[in-house]
Amino acid sequence: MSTIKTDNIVNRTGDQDSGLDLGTNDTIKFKIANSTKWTLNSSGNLFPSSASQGICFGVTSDTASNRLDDYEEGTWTPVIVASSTAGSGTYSTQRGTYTKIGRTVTFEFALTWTNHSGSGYIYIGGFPFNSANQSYYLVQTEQISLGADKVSFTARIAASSNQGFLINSPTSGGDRAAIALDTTGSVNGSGTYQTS
Amino acid sequence: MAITKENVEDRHEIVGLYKHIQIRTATIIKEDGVELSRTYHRHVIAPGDDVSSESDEVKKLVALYHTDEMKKSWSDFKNAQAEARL
Repeated sequence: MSTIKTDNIVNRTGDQDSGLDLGTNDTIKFKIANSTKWTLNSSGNLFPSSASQGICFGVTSDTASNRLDDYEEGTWTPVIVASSTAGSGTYSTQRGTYTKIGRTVTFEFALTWTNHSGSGYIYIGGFPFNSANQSYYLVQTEQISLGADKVSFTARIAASSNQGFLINSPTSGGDRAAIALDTTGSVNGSGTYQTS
Repeated sequence: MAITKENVEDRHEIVGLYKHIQIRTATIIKEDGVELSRTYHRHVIAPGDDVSSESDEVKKLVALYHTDEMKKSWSDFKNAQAEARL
């Protein structure tokens, strides 16, 4: 078997400036118009030269609505921000994770506070991205006074915001409402929302 | 063999009507200058938030975007949200 050794392979016709750049050890660069657009690195991972580039699915042409151009996973720090006076809290558990695929953020968090100096309603804040629209997610609460005949399974992220109310609902029907701040409490939650 | 750890704010995004500043902090672990791992932590600064512990770069963005007018708009929006039916 013979081996052809070269550092560059380019198109023969046209302006001859698109092809493969093999000039870096253990790396393959895909070039268009003499500019690297994608790189296959020594770990076998493929990445673009610009964060706005992506891969189109379900279409045969470059269409923004079909282009997957973002993936990110990380952590965030949930906090209680009271609605009237934001105040500050003492937390024994404060953990959040997220995965963003395209414009959709999937998150989960655990939050326990042992003291809080704020007043008003319970806002859960600190979400990693702003929400484009008003969005609801599921929660489980402990040690928070919900009021008589009330239950709480949901919370809201307000539109154009990264925080929102914890919500209770009367067991006998009627309007849902925000929950007043308790000096101690615990909330676990998970859900999804869309970024701007 | 030297293992190092860096925290770098590698992305600042200005988003939405109220110019929230989304900040991504990368924690980068390197061995002899070669990156071994990178993890992300995110937080968001709203108009009027306390930024005393933020980086100088974020403080400059806050000074630029979070004007008194913007703080009032955001405060009015939040109050309207609080008064609206959930």
